[in-house]
Amino acid sequence: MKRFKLVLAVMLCVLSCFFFLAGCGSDQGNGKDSGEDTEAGGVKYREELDVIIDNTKIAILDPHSPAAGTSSATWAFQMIYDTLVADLGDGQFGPDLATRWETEDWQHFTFHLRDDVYFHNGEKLTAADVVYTVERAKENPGSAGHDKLSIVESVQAVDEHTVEMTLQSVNVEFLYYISDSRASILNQKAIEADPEKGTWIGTGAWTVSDFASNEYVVLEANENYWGEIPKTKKMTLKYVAEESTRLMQLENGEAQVCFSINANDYDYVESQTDKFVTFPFTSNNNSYIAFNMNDPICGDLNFRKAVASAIDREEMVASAFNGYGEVNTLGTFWGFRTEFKNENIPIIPKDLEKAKEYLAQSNYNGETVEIVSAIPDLIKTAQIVQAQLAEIGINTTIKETDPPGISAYATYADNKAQMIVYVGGISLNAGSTKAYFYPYGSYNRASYKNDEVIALYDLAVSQADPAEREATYHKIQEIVAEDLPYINLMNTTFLVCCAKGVEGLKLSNLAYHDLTYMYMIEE
Amino acid sequence: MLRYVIRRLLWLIPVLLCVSLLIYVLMDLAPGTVIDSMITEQMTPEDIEKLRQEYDLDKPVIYRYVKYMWGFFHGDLGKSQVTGLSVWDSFISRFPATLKLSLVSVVFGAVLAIPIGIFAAQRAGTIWDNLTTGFTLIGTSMPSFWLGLLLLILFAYKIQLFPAGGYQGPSSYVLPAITSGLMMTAITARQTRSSMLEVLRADYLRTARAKGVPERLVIRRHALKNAWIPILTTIGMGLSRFLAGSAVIETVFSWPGIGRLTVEAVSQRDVTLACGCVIMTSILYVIILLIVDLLYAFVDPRIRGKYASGSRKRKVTA
Amino acid sequence: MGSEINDRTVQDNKELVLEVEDLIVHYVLQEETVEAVNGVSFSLERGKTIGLVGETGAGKTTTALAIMNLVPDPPGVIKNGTITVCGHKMLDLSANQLEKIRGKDVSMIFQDPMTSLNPVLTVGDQIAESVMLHENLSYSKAFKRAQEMLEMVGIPGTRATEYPHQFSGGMKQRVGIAIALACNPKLLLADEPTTALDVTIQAQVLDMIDDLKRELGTALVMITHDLGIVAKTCDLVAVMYAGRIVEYGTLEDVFDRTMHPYTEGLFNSLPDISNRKSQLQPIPGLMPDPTNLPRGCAFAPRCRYATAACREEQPSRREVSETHTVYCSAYDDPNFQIERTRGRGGNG
Repeated sequence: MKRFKLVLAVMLCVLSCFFFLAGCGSDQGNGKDSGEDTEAGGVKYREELDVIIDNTKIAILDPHSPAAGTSSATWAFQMIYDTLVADLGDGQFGPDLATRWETEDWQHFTFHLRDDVYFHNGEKLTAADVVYTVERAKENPGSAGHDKLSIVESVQAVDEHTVEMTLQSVNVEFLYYISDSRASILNQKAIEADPEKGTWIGTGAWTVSDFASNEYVVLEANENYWGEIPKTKKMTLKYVAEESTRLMQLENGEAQVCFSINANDYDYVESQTDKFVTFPFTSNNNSYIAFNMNDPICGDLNFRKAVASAIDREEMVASAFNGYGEVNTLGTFWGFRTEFKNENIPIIPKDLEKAKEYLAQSNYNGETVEIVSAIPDLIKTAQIVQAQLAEIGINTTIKETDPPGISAYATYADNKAQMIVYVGGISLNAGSTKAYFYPYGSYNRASYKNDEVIALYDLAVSQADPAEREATYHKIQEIVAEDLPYINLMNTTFLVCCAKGVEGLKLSNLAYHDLTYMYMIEE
Repeated sequence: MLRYVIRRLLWLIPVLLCVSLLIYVLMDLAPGTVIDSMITEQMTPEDIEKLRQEYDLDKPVIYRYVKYMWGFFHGDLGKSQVTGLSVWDSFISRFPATLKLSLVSVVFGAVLAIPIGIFAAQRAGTIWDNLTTGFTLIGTSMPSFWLGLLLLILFAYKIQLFPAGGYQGPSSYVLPAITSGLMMTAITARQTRSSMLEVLRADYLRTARAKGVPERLVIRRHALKNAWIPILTTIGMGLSRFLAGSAVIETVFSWPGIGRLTVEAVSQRDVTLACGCVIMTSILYVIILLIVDLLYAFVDPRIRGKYASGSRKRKVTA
Repeated sequence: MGSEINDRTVQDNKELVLEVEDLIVHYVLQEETVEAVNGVSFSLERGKTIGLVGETGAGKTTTALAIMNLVPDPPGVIKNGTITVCGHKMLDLSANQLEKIRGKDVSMIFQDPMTSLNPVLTVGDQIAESVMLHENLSYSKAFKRAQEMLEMVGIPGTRATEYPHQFSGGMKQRVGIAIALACNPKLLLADEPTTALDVTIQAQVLDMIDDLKRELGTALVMITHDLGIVAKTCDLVAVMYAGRIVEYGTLEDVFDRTMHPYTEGLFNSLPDISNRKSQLQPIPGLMPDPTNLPRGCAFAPRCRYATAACREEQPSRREVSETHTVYCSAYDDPNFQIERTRGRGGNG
């Protein structure tokens, strides 16, 4: 009886609590944004767009900060700033702030700047700003901007609108580097006046009106932009930490675009075609298994081949990624869309008998091998790997950590891991793969070193002829495929989920999406 | 009184030394350092080594700690290792969001809790008392992220009455304030109830009633004033906890406050920012509890007398 | 509403300030019922003093609280009875009406001055509060009155701004008296006003109550277990035992012509100063458990005169004189006398 009373009391409490909440809510305003619309030629564009960015967050609005390496930061950079040249894809480059450029030897470059470009603070763009930008980037080691511009030996302004740059050595990928948003041109005067907020000043189509580190950046269309003026008037790029509320915000109109919906909700969003429109893109980044080449077990090629023959990639994509991913079909470890990919290297097929044979020839004698992993999806992948390896008799344990933990665990010089299941960034330029195969490469989690590969990489950057370069990179891939320090598993497919009517989004396999001209047609 | 305040503030020093050392050691024990999230594919080993030196990562943790605290005691909270921005500026720019939410939550919690507590105490042992006890039980035991998500599903998703997150406009305060306030309501209501129950038995209430004081004044003027101290303590504790920024609530509701700042700092291994946040919130915590202590004197003349007796002997007539 | 009629009743009854009739108060707890007051009746005229005498637990305080209609409820339940204070039927009034009478027509001094003053209000405010409530004075006037009241009880008016913890026990009780008398009540209930005080202070306080009573013409119900105080202050005495009045009469009736064995027992347990060699004769045994009162006379188990009949039946009421009443079945035997009377010659 007493218990019944208690239960009753509890239930009544919950009820009254919710009634109270509902009651107190009703006199508050509606939470939805009421962005007004711009009408042009019969088509109404929504004035304000709220964009939920991905988990990389925007720590700082300064392309030269070490914290500016994240993908979502590049979205803001592309909107706020301009670069000297524009990457048109497939190794082609077009004008941006520079109307034209000349180079004879891929070491000395001359850029001619536009004459009609003004920064957001009203200052006119001059060659001095370009010089300042390059020099500032070079002074900031560890920054993405430094990455792009540190190969510049010297830079000088020839006149108001002409800049000359000399590289430390020949580099055929230089245009690729300076088309990156983290090599954007900043304003000298603004930064010298306010070192912290001066970097918010660019020449781009959007101006910054508010920013909170790792939380949000509010952008407004730059009506004085030298190029095409965006149709949307205000855009907020915001980070929503709680995954489950992202879909809610999309549903109730607090956000029109979301880059980070939980993959479990993809099917639902795709089914709601009257409300949503989705844009898929497949990441250039590989999910992989890395082997510590210095480890007595993993350093044995037969062991690595045994693993390669035992795994089933289809199962990983299906169960760890809900089917949203591209299964790797080649034997090379190269980015999904990275240039000069060698399509002729065959994958090691799944063959348990073969796997057992390799294992029998290896140093492996029933030891327990540790797999290090981080991020939920990849930990799931690691668990699948674990189950699949158990089938051929390899015992493993999984150690879970977080991304900084992975970096700390497995560096080239000090590799404490045996196997790693993780995902790694690879750019579209072939040179970026160096990070995996070059000694002290920042992503060289296999501690892989092969003198032939080193020599080929050094050769490739100086080969101006694309055909020669292709041959060199193909050769590198063949050697690496033989050595097998990494097993390429898959490339994740992401769905950008948008309210119906959103268009103009330029997606990139590198997740360096261009949101500058994104708009939403209202019905 | 002043001496008391100064003594309490001096206690801050060991407190701060302890919490900051704890943060430094714990973050040093966590795998990875701040530069691990900065490494990009094009960095050379020399670049990385240069970074390590720049952040003193080649030296022992105690060196970095002493260096940081040296700066701190010279009034410098340092710069964020990730963004390079001043920790003080970062903290101050985020503090208003947390402060506003805290105040709204505390007011919501207290305004609801005190009447509930009095109501329950006056009807101790009845079904109403059991109902409120049930309510406080739920309120204290419900995990706030769960309650937050429930409220979000109900009011942001199903009814679409309030935004599902963010920090604009009054309506965005409602759900986070209820979520954090409810816990506080429950605790404060419980405290009010027990504290009132004790007072309601007091002889001086009988004296007041015998004077013909109307019942509502008996409660308000005579009982509540005596029950204030534990209630104030609970509210003060609640406020200082909110001001430290509830990481959970700020995460669930995308609230750009101190809690989120600290969480991000820790996840990016930004030791200076994390340490600065913790130091600042510790200072706030101590100061608020001090203010609550001083409020005791305001509420209770006996305590006031005790403070005063340090400087001036009171006459006590026999 | 019925005030006209009530006023007339007062005049009809020679200014009867208090009339209690057949009052029964029980404390109903979950597992047991405490029978605290079991049919008490008495009355009091203007300016007179009645002493309610008895051991702890006899129901004196409950009776006083019932007069104010302040018996804590729950658990207290007034089962029966009528209480008339200055013509107001206290048990029939609404909370609102009661609040107007309490503190104005009837007020009370409590036993423990240490706990009966509110520690967080100044004594001046606590006195002024009832003045403001009952006489519609502004705060400043009420506070001035509070200062006068303090002066009247012998405390400098300047101390009105101080808090109870700054006063000694005796002064606190004076403040309690000042609170009770602030609105010149017609009836004052003093519940063991001196028990918690030092002996020297006791006398001062009693003298003061006596003076003030005479000055203001207040009727007084003095609750005490101290027969000395009764002798000093009371006109009438009601001896209570286990929730009943066992003997009732004028001071002379009860002290000089004691009838009830319990009253006798009380006197015997006093030390006799004139005869230092005499032994104290405490009453044997304990008060009966109020949750389980015996069927017959509650005092029978401790009474040396008790007969079988005493244990079976409630004692009968016997009016010895116009003013003197006793409840004792032993007097059914016309030759019965208690020892105290016998000792005095037995012919009274």
